[in-house]
Amino acid sequence: MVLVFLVISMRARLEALGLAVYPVAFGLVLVANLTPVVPVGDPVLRGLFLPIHTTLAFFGYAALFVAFAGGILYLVQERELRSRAPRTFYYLIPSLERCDTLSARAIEVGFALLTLAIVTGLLWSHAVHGRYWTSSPKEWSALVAWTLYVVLILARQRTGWGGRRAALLGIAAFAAVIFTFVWMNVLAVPVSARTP
Amino acid sequence: MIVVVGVSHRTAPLPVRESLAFAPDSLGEALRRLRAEAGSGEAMILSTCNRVEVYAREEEPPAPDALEAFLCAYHRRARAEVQPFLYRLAHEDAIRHAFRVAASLESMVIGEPQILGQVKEAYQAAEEAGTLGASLNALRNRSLSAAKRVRTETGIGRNAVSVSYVAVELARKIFGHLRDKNVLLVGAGKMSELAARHLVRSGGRATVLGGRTFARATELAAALGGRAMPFESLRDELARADIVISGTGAPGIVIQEADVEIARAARRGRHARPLFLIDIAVPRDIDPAVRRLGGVFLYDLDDLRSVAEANLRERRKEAAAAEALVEREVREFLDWQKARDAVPLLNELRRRAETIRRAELDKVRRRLGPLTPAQEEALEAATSAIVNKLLHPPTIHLKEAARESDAPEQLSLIRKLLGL
Repeated sequence: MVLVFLVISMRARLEALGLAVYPVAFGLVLVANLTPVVPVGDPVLRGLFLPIHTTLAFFGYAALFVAFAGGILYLVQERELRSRAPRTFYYLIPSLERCDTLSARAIEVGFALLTLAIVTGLLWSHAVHGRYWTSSPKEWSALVAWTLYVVLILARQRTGWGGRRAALLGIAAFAAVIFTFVWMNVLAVPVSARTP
Repeated sequence: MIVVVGVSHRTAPLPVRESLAFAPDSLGEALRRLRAEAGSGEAMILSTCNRVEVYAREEEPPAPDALEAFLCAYHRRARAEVQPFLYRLAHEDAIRHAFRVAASLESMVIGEPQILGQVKEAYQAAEEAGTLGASLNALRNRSLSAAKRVRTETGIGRNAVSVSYVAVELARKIFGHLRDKNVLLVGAGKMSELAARHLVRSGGRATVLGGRTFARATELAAALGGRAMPFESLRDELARADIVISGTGAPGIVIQEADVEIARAARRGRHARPLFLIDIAVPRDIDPAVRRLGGVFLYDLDDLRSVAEANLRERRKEAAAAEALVEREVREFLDWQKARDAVPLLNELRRRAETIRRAELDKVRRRLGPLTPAQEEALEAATSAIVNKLLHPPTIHLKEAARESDAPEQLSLIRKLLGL
């Protein structure tokens, strides 16, 4: 995530994004360090699809998180501007349009990665369980997130949607992404026991 | 030593400052007269609307009030009238003051950018009049570079504190850049013109809506490189606009909530884009109810003022960092100046040693007769080495002693000890 942020900041020079990115990256590293390493002996973890799937998903999550952070910054800055009495955040956060375009770009990239991650995930599922769709909550939430992002991207492109509503929808979609991520990785449900 | 005498917005009301001000084209003549009358070798005059100050290098002990006398005589004012408003600073205080003025820490609006240019011009005028010597020139270099550091390294001048600039900054906070943003002016008042000029300079495109006085609207539109439209096209123009500046003299509401609502609905493919409304009219032009609408940001004159005040508070926070930076620079300058006091003594010491060495070498040569080049070289090297090694510790000590607070006493003691 920090890597994705660094690439973005090289291109856009958006230091304020660090407000949101660094604390979360710190938290994730902390969780990763505190979580006991599960021995990777499970045969289902061995296929070729899984590493590709996780890599794509990881970068997709990072990009979508940046979009989510952009949305939060947008809402905070909008509130500052509406209050007509600026406080600290007004000075730190970049302009509304900047937050908006940042979210839009990050969602385009994140959505492409998410799509590929879902496809490889389905292929992996087929290789392991013999079925593409196993109806697990993880699959459903991934589908929900994916659908929300499709709606958001289409709305932006077709009707010039943006601003506050786009920020809110981006945040909602990311909530679904978090559910997908947490279901799999942090609740640490054993992979073989996860599906019927 | 450097001395400064003057009046500023902190010590004197405007009429007094006015009566003591120097016109830019009379500065050269005033400086030459100052040098002739006050007997100071170096002088500089800084005259702005907020301060009139005379900087000079005076010999020790200084003539007690030569600069005050000059200031009053030049402007034909009685001493007794002006005296209560004058301040006089010398030595370290004068130097610190010069640094603080250049860094805009003494300005009425902290961090305002004009003062740096005004100080530069004042030194330039002194240079042209031939009254800028080594001391004031050193002060110029150090104080101006410190002022530039303050501007770039602290946020003292970062946020706008005037109403029209605040409007532009808010526009930037909403839109990012202002290139090709449509700026709609409703009414052609002075203040809207000022804000619109800033916006157009940043790339905005202006449209002026004229009411009864359409000629004025056409004139302003031409000045802004935009177009003028009749007031009847308000709703169409609102639909196109990103930024609206309203400043008519109308007694009631000019832009109704319905106008804005309809205009926003009419923006095909752009209805989510923000609309920034600036109402600088008193009484207000725009219905405050439009604040309810999504993506609409309305600021009236009071709102802009409160942002300006918040910005000023931010500047004051930054001023602490600027103060510390200036203080460091002042200390460095003072150290440098004191170290410089040791230079003549050091030179004298070296010259003395060299004379003795040469004289002794000549004596040796007379006694030994002609020497081979190799012997000659060895003799040179040996005697130079003795001199250098002997002088090394006192040189170091002298430079250090010059920085101490009792430098003058120490230097004169060293002078006595070495028989210089």
